[in-house]
Amino acid sequence: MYSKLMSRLLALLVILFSSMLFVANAVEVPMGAQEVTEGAESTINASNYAAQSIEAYAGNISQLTLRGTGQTKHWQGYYGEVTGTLTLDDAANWTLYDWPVQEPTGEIYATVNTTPDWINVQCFDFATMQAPWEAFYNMTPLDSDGINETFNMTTHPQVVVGEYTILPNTCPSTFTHVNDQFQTEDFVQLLLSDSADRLIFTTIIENKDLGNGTDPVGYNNVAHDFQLLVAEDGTSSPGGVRNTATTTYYFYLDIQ
Amino acid sequence: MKQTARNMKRFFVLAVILSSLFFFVRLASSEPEGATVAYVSNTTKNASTPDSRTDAKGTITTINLNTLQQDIKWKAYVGNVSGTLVLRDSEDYSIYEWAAGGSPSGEVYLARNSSIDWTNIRCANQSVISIEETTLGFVSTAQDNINNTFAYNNHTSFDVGTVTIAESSCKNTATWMNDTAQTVNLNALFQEVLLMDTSDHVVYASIINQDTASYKNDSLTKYDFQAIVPDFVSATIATYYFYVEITG
Repeated sequence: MYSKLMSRLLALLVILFSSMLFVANAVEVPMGAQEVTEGAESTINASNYAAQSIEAYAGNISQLTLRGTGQTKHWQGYYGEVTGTLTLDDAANWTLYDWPVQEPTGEIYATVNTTPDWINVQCFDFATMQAPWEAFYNMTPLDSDGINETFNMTTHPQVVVGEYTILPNTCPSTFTHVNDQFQTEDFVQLLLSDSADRLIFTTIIENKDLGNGTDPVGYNNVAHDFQLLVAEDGTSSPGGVRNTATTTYYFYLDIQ
Repeated sequence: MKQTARNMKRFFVLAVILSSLFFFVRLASSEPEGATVAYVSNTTKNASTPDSRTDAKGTITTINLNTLQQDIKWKAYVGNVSGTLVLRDSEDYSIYEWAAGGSPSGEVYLARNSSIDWTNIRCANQSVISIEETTLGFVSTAQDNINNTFAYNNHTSFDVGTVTIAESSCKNTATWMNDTAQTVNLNALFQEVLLMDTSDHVVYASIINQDTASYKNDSLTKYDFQAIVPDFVSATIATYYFYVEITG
């Protein structure tokens, strides 16, 4: 009897011990994207904007109003699809089980820093962070396409960043276009930061509607999972030399 | 169990594949774009009232005559610029747009060609300027020819698309303000610079100065740009195409 009890206790201990191999101390943070596949690049087509002309007689001073369109030098856009796998792995990457996710929900994060402090994510604070980050991207306070001019709303749903919850309508936000038009339904983007004031561009993957397996159409009337704006420095330096350096962004995802 | 094994954690590794990830080219192709032109008004000099004399019969009178005559080899465009900064693909779909406000910075370019090679824009050289004068019918010795008008090398640096025009590298001038000639230096407003492309098309580049007092001696009249361009000496009227590059 006693030996049976000890056997069962031992078995229970083994089971408990084995389960401790997967201790519920999961580090729930956004994970680095495992693969980023580059597609086609595209930029504005200047031939779509033919110059207009006007005639005037010599000896005349003519008053005109000109309207122009210019491609921004301070931002670049990403869009595309997301697929993923939810897995139960140990620290050595051995998988106990996994679940493929064809249309994951969640968020995509892009930052120039490789080690964001995901445990201490917060809303981007314009009062303390706008100036240094606009200086980083060589934006001036007068630029109409600066960071605060772009993220000029506070409309967004609740976002869970790892274990931290960003409450609705609390952070700077904006929306990218749908079908070439401004809108405030889909493709919302938030501005976050971590404890070291590292800027994190955040967008919500567009499979947020329960039971809706159809992606919404994006800026170009084609369905996408996400659209994301990130800042870039495409201006010239004060010495007149064009800045040709690129900015490396690191992509993280948090999918459910 | 070993310490390492005790320290194994349960966590979710998300293997995510981003497929068909498209992005807009990082160096935005930001050539000057054709402008939408809204004509407002034009004006020219009124005829001067002639002076007169009355002298006695049989006298020989020496007089000096002075005249202020409208130059009919040049014309000017003044006005305001508005615009939109966009992030747009080659099919003209915008993923985002920013209103550049009523008075963006940048340049207004005028050329008699509707197709300019902006990627190879540079300072106009003397050879091309001479050809331009000949084409328009200007006399090389005339006081109001192109060389004598764009007689300076004193201007700020600016970008033409992806090309940076270095400070004081090209021939330039500056139009008047408050009915007075400006000193043409780095601080002058309404600077205008002579450029050319690979096909020797001359481009007159007028640097935008937002909401600035104009050539009129009138504090209420403000323009974003003032530009002078030459016309044919003959009866032919030169057609100019307008391009704008706005930068916020």
